[in-house]
Amino acid sequence: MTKSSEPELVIRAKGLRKTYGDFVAVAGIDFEVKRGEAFGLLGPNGAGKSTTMRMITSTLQRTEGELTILGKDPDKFGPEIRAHLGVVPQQDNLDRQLTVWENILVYGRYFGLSRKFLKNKIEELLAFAQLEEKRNVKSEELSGGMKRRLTIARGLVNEPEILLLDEPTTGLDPQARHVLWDRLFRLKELGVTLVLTTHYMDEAEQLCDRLIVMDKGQIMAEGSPAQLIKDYSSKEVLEVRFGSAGNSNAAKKLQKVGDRIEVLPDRILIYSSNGEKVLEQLTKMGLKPVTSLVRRSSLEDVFLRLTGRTLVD
Amino acid sequence: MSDVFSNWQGAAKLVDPRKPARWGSFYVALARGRESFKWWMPMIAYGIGHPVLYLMSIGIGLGSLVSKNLGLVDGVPYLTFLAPALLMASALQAAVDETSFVVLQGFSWEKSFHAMNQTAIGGRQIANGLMLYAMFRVIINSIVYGVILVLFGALSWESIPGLSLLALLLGTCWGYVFMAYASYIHEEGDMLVLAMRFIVAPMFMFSGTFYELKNMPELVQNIAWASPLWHGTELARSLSYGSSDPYTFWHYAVLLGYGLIGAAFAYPQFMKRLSR
Ligand SMILES: Nc1ncnc2c1ncn2[C@@H]1O[C@H](COP(=O)(O)OP(=O)(O)OP(=O)(O)O)[C@@H](O)[C@H]1O
Ligand SMILES: [Mg+2]
Repeated sequence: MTKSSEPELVIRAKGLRKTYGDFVAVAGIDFEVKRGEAFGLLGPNGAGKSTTMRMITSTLQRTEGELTILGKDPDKFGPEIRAHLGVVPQQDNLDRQLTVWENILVYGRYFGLSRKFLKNKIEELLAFAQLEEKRNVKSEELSGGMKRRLTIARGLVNEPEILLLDEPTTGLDPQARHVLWDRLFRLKELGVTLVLTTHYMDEAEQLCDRLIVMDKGQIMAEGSPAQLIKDYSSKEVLEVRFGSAGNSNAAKKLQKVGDRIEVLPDRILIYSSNGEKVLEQLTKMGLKPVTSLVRRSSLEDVFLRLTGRTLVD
Repeated sequence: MSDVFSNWQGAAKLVDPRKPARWGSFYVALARGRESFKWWMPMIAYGIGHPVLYLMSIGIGLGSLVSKNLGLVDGVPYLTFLAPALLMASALQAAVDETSFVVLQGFSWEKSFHAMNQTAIGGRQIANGLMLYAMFRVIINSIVYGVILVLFGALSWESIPGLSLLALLLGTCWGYVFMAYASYIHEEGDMLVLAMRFIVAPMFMFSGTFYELKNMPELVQNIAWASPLWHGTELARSLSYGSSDPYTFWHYAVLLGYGLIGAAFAYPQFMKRLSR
């Protein structure tokens, strides 16, 4: 560990690449994550997020490129690195036969933690995941969201320096999502580095200091949420609907309106610095949208622009 | 009450990677034990009930028939002839149980190996842990079976430790073969069922368990050479009642050969599957 004023880099990837046969899942990407940072990976399905996450987790072997986690090469020091990581994979891999309590115990033992320490730790984690009442329930009998919460709590058992969360909130109810956000913030305050993927843009905006948008194994953009919105979108967005039949017709007339338009199956987005003004313009052109809405640009618009895809894709 | 945040020390302070590096295999075996002890009732019922019923029906029923018609087999009463072979067969079965579907479950069905591999545990330790637990099962199984055989007057007390060690050798060596085989299976497990049906099940018929092999056609005798169970059974017979056997060295050699080949395929395949 270096003692300098510069924050330590806990993850460094250079030309990181993963192929399956001829198929390129991650096409040689560069990124760095500093200690204590919350770093996000966004991208449509199949972009290579989980593949990247699993390489950082030091389980999936990279095909090419450099990768350093906590100063070590995962090809050589996998177990040592993982001893200091917390991993929440996209798919829960709990032990179905074991109870909630046992799942955390057994997992904690894999880090060499003592039973005495774990006894207390499990209580803390059950409270963290709000699963106190389910302690003696077999994990296969939990609801989907509860399983997710248990997987997240389990990943904290070794008090990781880096917590890797692959779509942590998928399957969580809105309340549980907000609880989790709050707890992730608190972990960050303790100096834990967060690396997460998500399909919820509000989540990314809330949680991430910095993020990359990936598509087809490549990085399309990198920056803070605010910076990305500034760079890749306008200040405001006007959303208009002309009904399923009217949209494509109206779109033709709208080519010169605003900075840029995006035609979605159900609506048209018009990007500009002033949405109200554009709406007036439409009325003058004789276009009468069924519904209209002016809003601020969000990360979702950046995502749309960069990947050309909606989130439903 | 304390919460996660107020007691946070951080892994750098809390976790000593040398501990899992040293004890990881043992942790995996313990976890296997915890899983399978969820089934302790059927396990005990089967572990004791099976040999008892078996001995009562086959050993005594068939034995008296054989004795009446043939007198001694291999120079001893039929039950004495049968006992070490049964013990070996049950050891083999226990080893197969612990190295077959468990592997599929770990890699495919529940991905529990992947969960272990997210921690400080590596693929080699996962394979070791499975094998450690399989060995434990085989030993316990052999002692229980041995005691029952003694109670039936088919075995002497003194032969239990030696037979258990032979059972352990057989179970471990063949366990590695099965573990290796299972670790190459990606789909639902039909290939595993196939192996059980066409390799393990016939093995019980072609290993001289119930009759002396030297009275069988040459073909059967040749098949027996491929059967780890036959080699184990021969060693067990000479240990338990001193049956004469010129091939002792070769029995050990074949068993160890199976074990080494199995291990040589199992470990790299475990590492490979976990890193993809
Ligand atoms: N084991 C594998 N063998 C072959 N191809 C794979 C394998 N794992 C992933 N891929 C491919 O790599 C690409 C990236 O997959 P990855 O899981 O990283 O996507 P993702 O960005 O996490 O998507 P999602 O949002 O759906 O989780 C996909 O096209 C996928 O089909
Ligand atoms: Mg994914």
